Amino acid sequence: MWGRLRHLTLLGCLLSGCAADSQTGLPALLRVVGAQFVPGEPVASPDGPAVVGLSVLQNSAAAGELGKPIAGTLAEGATAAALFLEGDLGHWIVVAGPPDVTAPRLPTFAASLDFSPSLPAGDRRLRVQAGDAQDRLGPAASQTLAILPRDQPAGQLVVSLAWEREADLDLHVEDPTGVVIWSRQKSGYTAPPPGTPPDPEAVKRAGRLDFDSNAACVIDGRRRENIYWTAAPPSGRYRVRVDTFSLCREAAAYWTVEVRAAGQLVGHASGQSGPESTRGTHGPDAGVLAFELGLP
Amino acid sequence: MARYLPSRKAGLGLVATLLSVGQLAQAQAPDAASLARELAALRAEVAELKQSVLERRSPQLPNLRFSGFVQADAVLRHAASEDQLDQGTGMPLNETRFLIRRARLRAEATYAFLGAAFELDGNTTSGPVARILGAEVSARLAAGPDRPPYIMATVGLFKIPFGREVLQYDPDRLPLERSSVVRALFPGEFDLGVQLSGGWRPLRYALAALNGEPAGEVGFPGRDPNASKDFVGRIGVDSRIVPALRLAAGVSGLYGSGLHPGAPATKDVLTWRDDNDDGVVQPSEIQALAGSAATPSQSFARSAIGLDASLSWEVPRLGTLELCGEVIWAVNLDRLLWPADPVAAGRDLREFGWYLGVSQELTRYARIGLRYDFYDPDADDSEQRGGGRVPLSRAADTLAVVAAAQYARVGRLSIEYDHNRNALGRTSGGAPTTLGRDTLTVRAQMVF
Repeated sequence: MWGRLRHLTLLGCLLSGCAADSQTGLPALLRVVGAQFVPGEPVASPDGPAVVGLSVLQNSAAAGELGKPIAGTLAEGATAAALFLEGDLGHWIVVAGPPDVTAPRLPTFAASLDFSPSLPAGDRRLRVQAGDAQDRLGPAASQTLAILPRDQPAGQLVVSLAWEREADLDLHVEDPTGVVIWSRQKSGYTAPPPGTPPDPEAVKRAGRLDFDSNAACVIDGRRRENIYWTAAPPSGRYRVRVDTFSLCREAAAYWTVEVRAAGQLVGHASGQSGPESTRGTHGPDAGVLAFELGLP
Repeated sequence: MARYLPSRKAGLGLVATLLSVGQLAQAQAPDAASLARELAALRAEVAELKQSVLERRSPQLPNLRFSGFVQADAVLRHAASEDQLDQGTGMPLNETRFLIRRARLRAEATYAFLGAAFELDGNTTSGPVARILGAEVSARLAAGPDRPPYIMATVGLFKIPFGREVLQYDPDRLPLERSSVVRALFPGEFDLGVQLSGGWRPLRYALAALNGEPAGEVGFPGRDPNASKDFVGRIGVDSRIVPALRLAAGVSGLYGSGLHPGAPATKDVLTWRDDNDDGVVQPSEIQALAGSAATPSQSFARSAIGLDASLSWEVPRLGTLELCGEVIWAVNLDRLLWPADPVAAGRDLREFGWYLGVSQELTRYARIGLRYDFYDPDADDSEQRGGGRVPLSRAADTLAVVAAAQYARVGRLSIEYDHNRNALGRTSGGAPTTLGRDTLTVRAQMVF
């Protein structure tokens, strides 16, 4: 029986190459630049080396964040570190580096972490295990990371436009007073008539646009715009429009609009921009109506 | 009765004469070898006469001949295939696909001692592509039909005269692709330059001065970034030791120079690096990078030496058995897989590779074979791992197992499994290990 099993294993090895997985790990929630992706959770061995110290500058990370540094010190004899974000598709192997002058016998490691834009918000544990030349992984040292939603400002009312492909799309929101907030008018605040003293609170109460993404096809990779009210928004009807300023040589762009009031999702719309969507003027009333919302 | 007597005498005399002539003829009968020689000489004479007749029929027009082949592949399994895009190039990472690997059309024209050839290649390896692969003009001192010219001068775009696999006609090779070392050192096989080649009896020779940037090179394919030329040559033998046994072997060498590209001037830039990972811009995290003047390009020397041999034996009832091999030592010559740049690396990069193959025809309708190839792009590489610096091998080897059904040596359907071992992956302990690269490919090929 054992002999047959061994033959089957050898045959499987020949067919599969007995090789490390060659997948890029792009679908994973955590990605480590220059490291080996291994599908599945790392398994600890009682004889494996330990992680002596772990250093993460901030205990939080944003979905889509790029290049978050992590470093650590490993027990003597360790040759690698395995990094695993709980709930992920696999873990990453980072080759250990030279010891620090303060601990000349202990190897170190350093890595740069990228987080998937689709990483859900909430607390998530990052586990690190040291590995040795016999491929044994030791006990895990962990660090809980608070995963923050991506580029989403806090506010009483938040209207968010997100899109795929590197095109220049613009979010327009017309508030109940008829003022359109968009890339050329980033705040809903309107100056009082001459002779009337300005109201400092009115500026804070007004809705505002946080960022004009991919403006004039200068690609920033953000592909997201938010218009938000930090104070209670005025009652009445809100009209949300999506204007396709330019597709920036892309064939099409798929967009979604979400409206959150007091943190709760109250509206959702999605659509597609094609070459015909860029026609016409790109003034305050431009774009397709994505959503209409009435607030009490 | 009496009137028949003279006739009888005459008849007896005739029989005696015939017998004596027969004995004489038997005594002077040529053996089979001399008849074969005479036959070969007559055939050569007929061929020359045919050629001269054809030339006289169209004295103003060169003889034109078209040939070509198509190789269509179906990659059934590729261990590195993934339904993602390469983040650097934006190209698909999926390798499980149908593709046209090579579609070649070659036109050859000859007129007296002059010749010219033009070869087009189409493929879909990285999307549909049509390109000039070969274009050459030559003048030759012919030695006769089915024999190489005594001397032939060629100028244009032609195959690099190095080793065996580079010069081999693609449809003749049973493994689907060339070995790793040949693909790395001579990508694309064709280069621009001038060549003297020919043969005398079993001796074969070729000497070329080339740009040194072959068609499949990653840096400047088809261009020449430096004025110095690469000198490549091969000397060898090609002979039938006995009628059923043929030996071809040679020694090749290359000496030339590559170019380390310089960098253009840069402007001043302001950068922000979030050192403490708090997402807030702080004065200490803002850095002004002063612009830099351009850095010049630098040439570097590269060289290679190779030995190659192949032995073919006509096995009775089965077909041709072929054994072949090649070994190459090179310095700074990798132009595809791990492009060598000794200026950037700060040291010379020594490459070494070899392959050994065997194939056997199984009647006219089938052929099987296998080839093992090995390639080390840098014999002196090392890396920091843990507390110390350890040697690092980037060597890779491939075992290709091929079976093919063929028809009239024109059409062929091949299936090949490539088992690849490399050092691109990492074990849990951080040591290099094989990154899955095995492939299973089916190829349909037709030569015309």
